[in-house]
Amino acid sequence: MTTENVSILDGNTFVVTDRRGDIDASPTDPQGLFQDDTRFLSQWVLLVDDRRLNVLSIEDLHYYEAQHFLVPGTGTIYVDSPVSIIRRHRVYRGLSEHLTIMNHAGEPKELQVRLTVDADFADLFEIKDQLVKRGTPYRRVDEGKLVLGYRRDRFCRETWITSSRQPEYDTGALRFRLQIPPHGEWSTHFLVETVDVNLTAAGVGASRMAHLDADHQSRVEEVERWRRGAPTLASSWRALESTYQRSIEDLAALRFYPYLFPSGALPAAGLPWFMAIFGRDSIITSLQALPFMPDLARTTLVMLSEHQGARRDDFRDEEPGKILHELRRGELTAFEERPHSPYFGSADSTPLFLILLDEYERWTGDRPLVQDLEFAARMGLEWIDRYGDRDGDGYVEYERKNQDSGLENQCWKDSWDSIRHADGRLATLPRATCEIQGYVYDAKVRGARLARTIWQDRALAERLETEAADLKRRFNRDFWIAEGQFFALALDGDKHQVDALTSNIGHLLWSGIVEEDKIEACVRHLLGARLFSGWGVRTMAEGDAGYNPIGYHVGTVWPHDNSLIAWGLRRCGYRAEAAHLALAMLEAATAFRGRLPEAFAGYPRALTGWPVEYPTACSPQAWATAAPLLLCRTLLGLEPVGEHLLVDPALPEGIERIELLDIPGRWGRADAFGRGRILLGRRPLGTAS
Amino acid sequence: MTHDTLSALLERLQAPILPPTLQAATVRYRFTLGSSEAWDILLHQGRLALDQTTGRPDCLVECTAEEFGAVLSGQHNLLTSFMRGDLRIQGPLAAAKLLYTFLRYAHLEEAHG
Repeated sequence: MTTENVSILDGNTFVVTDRRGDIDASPTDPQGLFQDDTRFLSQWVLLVDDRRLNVLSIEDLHYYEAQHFLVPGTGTIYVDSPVSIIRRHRVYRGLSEHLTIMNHAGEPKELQVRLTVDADFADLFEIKDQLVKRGTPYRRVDEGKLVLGYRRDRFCRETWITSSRQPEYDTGALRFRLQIPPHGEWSTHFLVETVDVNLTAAGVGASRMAHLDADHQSRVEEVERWRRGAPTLASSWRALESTYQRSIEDLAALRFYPYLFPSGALPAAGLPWFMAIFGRDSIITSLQALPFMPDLARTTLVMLSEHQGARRDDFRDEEPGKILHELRRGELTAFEERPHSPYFGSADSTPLFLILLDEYERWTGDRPLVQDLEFAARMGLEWIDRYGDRDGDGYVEYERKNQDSGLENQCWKDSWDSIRHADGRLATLPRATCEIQGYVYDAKVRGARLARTIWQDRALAERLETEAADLKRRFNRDFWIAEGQFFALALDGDKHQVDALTSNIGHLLWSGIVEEDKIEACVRHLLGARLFSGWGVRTMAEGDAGYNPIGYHVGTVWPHDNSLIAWGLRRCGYRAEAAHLALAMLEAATAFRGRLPEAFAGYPRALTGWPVEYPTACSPQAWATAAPLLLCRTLLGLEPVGEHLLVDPALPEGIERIELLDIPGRWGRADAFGRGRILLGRRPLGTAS
Repeated sequence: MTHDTLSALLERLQAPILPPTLQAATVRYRFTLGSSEAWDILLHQGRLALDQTTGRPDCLVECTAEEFGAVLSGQHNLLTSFMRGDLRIQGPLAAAKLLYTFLRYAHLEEAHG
């Protein structure tokens, strides 16, 4: 997606336009109105007297609302335009546009306004893979609305377009012939409704736009409640306050109310490609945001448990007890040309689910939920041993069963080329990546705590503790590369170490699986020149054959990755190092105006002076959005201890003060204060010297 | 589909492991297959069976006879059938979700004799 696009969103409904507010989709530029993984508008172009408009400015009003200020081209800089145009877009399960045209001249102005429209009803996978549609499009004018439709067997989706002023319809356009009085204006209100015809016929989701204004007002109030529900952050570093506010706002935007679970919100993964439920992304985002908005974790846990794997199904890579990877609703999923109904191709979602369940209880004290999810948790624990460890070697490894459309890599670095040896060779399958073993260790330790304190099952607790200790011992033996003094990225299909140096070792610090005598060496690598770019820890170390500073998982810097690494450093007692990394990442956020993207380039900071954008990064993306929250938690040293919140700040000296007020938890609400004490020898980016 | 065939099919549909919420649920479904065929099915104590009572259905499901058989026998996935429009649901989606979850856990036991 180019940075010339403007995105507004509301859960899994989103609109991507150009700066004029036009949608003119092409295979390489995913503009459109999207909902439920389907593009309901692929063209929405405004012409005045048959000419496209020019942009004066764009106002980003809210995450769901933007305003475009435009003029018709006058053809010369020496002639002021006598006409200006405002397009106000709002997304809410569809698109609303208020169009206003102003005549600034002293005489009447005649204009022809034409809005060309089209809908290709492309599934998001069809856009990514440039596939041809199999169904039939249709269109009709029906009771004052233009209907664009698509049918394939009984699968039927429609886009309904209405205008508050009656247009003339022709094929693919709404036309208006205007005469605007001197210094007068003309306006109309377009509504674009997205319709799943089968749902509407069944009485679900009908007339969703009918109460748009009332719904909008209740949404404004709800978002305000959301903001007020989050702790308040104040800091001497104003840029940190802005980043924090941006994160809270973007998390509100990314909340997603699944139609099978409409009463609770969980985070969708990221705009534009991942506006859906993802196991791993939703869990990690919920973990990062837990001290700030614990309800996200609750919904995530419940929703994922309801879709937990129940059977062996190779098409979906499903196994009993496994937590899903991704749930989609587009045409290709409906016709089972893609396996996402849901797809289970992730080997880490299940241990991460168990980690979140424990961490959620530690923060909130919500024992009833942990009791309700006991079945799901036990199923998850069983999956780890019975299916996750597919060859009985004591490690969880993955290899897709769905060879056609399954994911080759089922860890967080899920691009095809991410798991490589230092010499660049791809690792053979099945692959047991190191961080998954760390998650499994942590899941067993935490599962033991829940078994002992809540499920009252001492035997299970003891078994899990024994298994965790055994895993830790074997892992430190089998994954440790003595020569390099770091942990292998993975064991490959032949049980050989995959010897690339990667950010994954930071997750190991977070998990607790690393033996005491190996921690310092890992820390040195994480903050050494090969991995640390100056802005953050790269996914792969400079010097490895596969390293590429703009390679998706082989050299870029991922904010969520770094937030977990900083948390791991802190967990291992490396307070200054954690502060150093957190500061660098928050400075990068400042450079991105408070909104960290999914990933950015791994060039050395000394070379670029500014974090360089990764070309196709999703933004906002949930776990990047929530990364600053976890970094704040890390800097303030927030930990639940029994019924109390422990605050143990370790701030770099450049941040004089952070106050986080009204932190929710089992203690009710509590405040945390921190002052900069750790000398790093420089002030944060964006502060006065 | 005859009463006996459907009854036998439901009898063979077994879910040895089920989440507790599903074991505790009692839900009545009315399947309407075209204009002349309808079946009332009860989800109770972790089993599906033809409903002999006259209770009001909690959830109405509309589909063809072929789709009905395919969904119950596990050849079709209820969720994707629903997404395609091959199966329509009226009533609380929570009730439909229980049936979907049950069918994911269930499988057909081999017929005896």
